[in-house]
Amino acid sequence: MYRIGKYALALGICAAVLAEPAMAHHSFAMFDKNKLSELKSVTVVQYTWGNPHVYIIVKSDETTYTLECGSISNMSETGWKFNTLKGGDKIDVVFYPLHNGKPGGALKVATLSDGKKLEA
Amino acid sequence: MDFKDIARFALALTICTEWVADTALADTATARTKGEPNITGVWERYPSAFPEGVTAFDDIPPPGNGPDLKEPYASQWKAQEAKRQAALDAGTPLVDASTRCLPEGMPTIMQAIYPIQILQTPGQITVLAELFMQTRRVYIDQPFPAPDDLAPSYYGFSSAHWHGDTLVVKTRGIRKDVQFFEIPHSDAMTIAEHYRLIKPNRLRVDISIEDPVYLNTPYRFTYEYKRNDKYRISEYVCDHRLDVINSDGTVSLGVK
Repeated sequence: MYRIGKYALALGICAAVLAEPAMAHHSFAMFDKNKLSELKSVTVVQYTWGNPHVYIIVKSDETTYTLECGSISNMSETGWKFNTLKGGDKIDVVFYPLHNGKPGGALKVATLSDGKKLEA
Repeated sequence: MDFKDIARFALALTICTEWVADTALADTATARTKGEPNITGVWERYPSAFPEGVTAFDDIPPPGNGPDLKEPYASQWKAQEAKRQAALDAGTPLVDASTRCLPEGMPTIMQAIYPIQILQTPGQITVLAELFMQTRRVYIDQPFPAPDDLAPSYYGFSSAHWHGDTLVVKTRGIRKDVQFFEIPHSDAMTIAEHYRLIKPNRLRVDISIEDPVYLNTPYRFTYEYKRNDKYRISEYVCDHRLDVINSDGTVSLGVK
């Protein structure tokens, strides 16, 4: 039982870690925290799994958007894997847009083609 | 007891034996000596390294009351803090060592934004940080090298000893450009750390930074960590940077 308790505790700790924003690498200030942009059924051009940030490049009509995500450990904790996306996948994205108006932002959540929602 | 029961019992016995053996192995693998507290393990800051109300959009403030710098350094540091905050407010953050993917060095590594792993082996304590895969070595019962042999470095030289159940570490020889919250320091800076297990799975470190050139009084603060040995530290090679460092010292996201 003690072991089970310890395991449950560890799970709890993992859940707590999961809730952390942990943008350790650079400030998030380049993104507008008061605004959210949404793009439906965009095409994944590139999905890069790496540190300091995972990133996703998507195309919507003729515009290419660069979406920065968390580190690989943050992303793993919210359910992302190195092979979650591939070029050509259609996804919906919600992100904090760049202050400078350029096409990009910090991904908040993605909805995959099977309906699965993943927080970034 | 029929054959099925015997088989079930044998299976249960095997599992139990392996479990006990694993546990015993884990206890001896730490290679501690003289009954010192066991601080080997993966540790995460507790409470979180992000104080309440601080989000990913904010910078983490310096711990405690901040440094008691001498003038003119106090005014210069406050001006730099204001400049950095103004840049954040404008959405054009300034570049820093972390954005450049440089190691944090001492004492920033102990901030443990991502978990750290402490390995306690005879004669040495090693701190491995997930962030940037940093390695810090702390030597037990070893004197400081002569000043001529102490080339400034990111982590300096850390000399430690056990005082009862407290690990006392002193660190000198940190590069001047390796700064904690951009606080300037001299070659004379000494970082003293006192580590103590306040519960079997809770580690506390009291840090005191002394610098007769820059500080009026030692800069003291405390970090606490919770053991989380279920957590496996990922590798962290900083090779997928999207940010662009502009000529004015600001950072922006490189977009296609």
